[in-house]
Amino acid sequence: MYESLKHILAEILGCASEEIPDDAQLTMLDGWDSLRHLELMLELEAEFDIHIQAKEIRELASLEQINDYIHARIPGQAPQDS
Amino acid sequence: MATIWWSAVARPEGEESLTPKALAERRSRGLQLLERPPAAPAARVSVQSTFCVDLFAPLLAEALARWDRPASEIVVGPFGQVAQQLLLESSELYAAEPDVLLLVLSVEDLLEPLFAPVSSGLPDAAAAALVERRVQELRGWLGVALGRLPRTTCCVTLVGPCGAPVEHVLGPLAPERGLGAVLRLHEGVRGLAELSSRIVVVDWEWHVRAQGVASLHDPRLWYLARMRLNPRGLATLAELVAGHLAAERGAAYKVAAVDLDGVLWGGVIGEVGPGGIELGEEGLGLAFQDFQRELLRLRELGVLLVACSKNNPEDVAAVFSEHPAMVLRREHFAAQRVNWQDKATNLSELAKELNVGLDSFVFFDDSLVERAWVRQALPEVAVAELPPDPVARPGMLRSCPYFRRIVLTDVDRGRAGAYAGEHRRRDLAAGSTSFEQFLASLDQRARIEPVSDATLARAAQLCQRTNQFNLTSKRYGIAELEAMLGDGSTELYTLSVSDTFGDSGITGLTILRLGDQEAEIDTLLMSCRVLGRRLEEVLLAFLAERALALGARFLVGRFIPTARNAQVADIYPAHGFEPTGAGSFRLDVKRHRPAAPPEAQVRIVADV
Repeated sequence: MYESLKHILAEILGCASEEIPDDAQLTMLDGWDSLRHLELMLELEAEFDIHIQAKEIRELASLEQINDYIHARIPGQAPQDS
Repeated sequence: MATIWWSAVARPEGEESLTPKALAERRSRGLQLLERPPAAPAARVSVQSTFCVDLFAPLLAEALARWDRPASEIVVGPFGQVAQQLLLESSELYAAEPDVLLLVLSVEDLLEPLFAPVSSGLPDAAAAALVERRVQELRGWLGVALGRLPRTTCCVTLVGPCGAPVEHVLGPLAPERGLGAVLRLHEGVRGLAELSSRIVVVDWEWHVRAQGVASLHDPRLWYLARMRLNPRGLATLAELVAGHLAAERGAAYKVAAVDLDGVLWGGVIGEVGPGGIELGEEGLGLAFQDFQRELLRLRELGVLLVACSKNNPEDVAAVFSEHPAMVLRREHFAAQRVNWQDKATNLSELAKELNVGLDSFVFFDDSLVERAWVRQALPEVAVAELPPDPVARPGMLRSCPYFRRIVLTDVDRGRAGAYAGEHRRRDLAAGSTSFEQFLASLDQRARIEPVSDATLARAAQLCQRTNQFNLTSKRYGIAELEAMLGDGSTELYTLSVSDTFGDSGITGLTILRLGDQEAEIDTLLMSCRVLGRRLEEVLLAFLAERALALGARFLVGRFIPTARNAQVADIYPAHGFEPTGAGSFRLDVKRHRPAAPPEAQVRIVADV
């Protein structure tokens, strides 16, 4: 699940996307700290041409939440692959 | 939207606009560079800042590599610890002994009481005192860092602010607006450069004016991560720092080679005649005139102008002598090739005539075909992308990055005149029947002086730029030379030459390292402008006497071959040195010392 999202996160963390589990969560996954999280958010903004509010940045703390969020923002284009 | 041909912060190979995609590419290239750093020589960089710049390292690595000043390591210190890192001798900074220390300061951090919304504003006098204290602190901290890191270049920049402390008050001088303190702080940081030639101040505020500060900040990053610059801001900072560090290395180009038709004026003389060209005080004619003015300004900064044009020489001569709107005159050009030869051949000939490498040339031509041909035939020449619209060209020339330096040396200021003198010297050589007679008529005076703070920048510039008469081609920077000045076992001397045609200024450098039994010539170089005038004999005679005076038995010299220095391969054996293998030579100074040329040819003033 979440393959394209994992791909973006893997690029930022400098690991292989296979190493990222489906239930990955901010600060629980090795390397996914608050700074990398910011980078991820900026990357998603550029990728999907959206603006994510600071409050949302803080709340989006798992792959699942991020996927749902993007799906809601841009239906049809979200990385909803399974 | 108007195209910006190089803003102050971009270089030709860099993208013109920092799109998110371009940023991501830079970051990813930077991460690769940090993982697999280039082989030496590469700089170790330490970044100390008053706010979080944790995303900066890959962007800086990428920019430094593109500007040909690669980094082998970039360590970003914990933010907000500038004082601790610079003052505590046990800090990570001093343990790391970086080649480059980058201090990233922000106005909002240094003048926090002025920006903090809780305060009702500082009284003017208190704000002024705060600025004064901050500047004195910075001067003190930097003084300590320079002393403890004798080989390090310190790059300092002051970022911000996004606005005046109190934007509700509009009067620029109103004390409540608080702008006076901000401006004084900027002045204070700019003034840090006077502390040492090893301090390079990056004037952030000025350079980012054109693109505007709004796009470089992101309040989310400030509130969530204490980052005062967004990735775009950090990439802009990286670009500026890399550009300054490249300029500090003195790698600037020396020659602007310009096409004439369509570049200095509109139209083709062969078609419209000398009177029909577009050049004047109005419209496009003014754009061409302004382009000429910018070239004239480059000449004043020490760039040599040469003309390279496919034309009939008489037609060109007529424009130069008769057209009333011409800004540039024939005498502003150090050399010219106006003929029907191909331009690569012409540029090669010009390089030979001026005794300057083709890698010092920037070529300006409006024809895409000529540009492509020169790029292909002479890859070492920088080919400028001249905008097709003449109105964009004066601005392009003003901001193009080829000719940048941190400060001008006296030699830069006098270069154009010195080359004009060179032409007259050649005319004189043609009139003398013997070389000895020619040298005697020059009334040459050679002065050998120890390198001092005042001449350090020029000495480093010579190390960076001298290719032909350079025995070891060691590319020392200011910091390394300054460290040698203080180490007690190294002597550095400059050679200056003057003659009846003018003062060529400092045109030679030698570095002597003292060992037990021997003194080694670490560096021996001379600018190509003064070659063939027996000045190498002056230096070798001086070095031998100096070695003897210092108690050495042998004077040792090395020749390290490069692609350009074959002409000095035999200089040591030719002056009595014996080869000892591996490009080394030595001279028993107790038994033999090379003689200086007769006083009639060079009068020597050694000031040791």
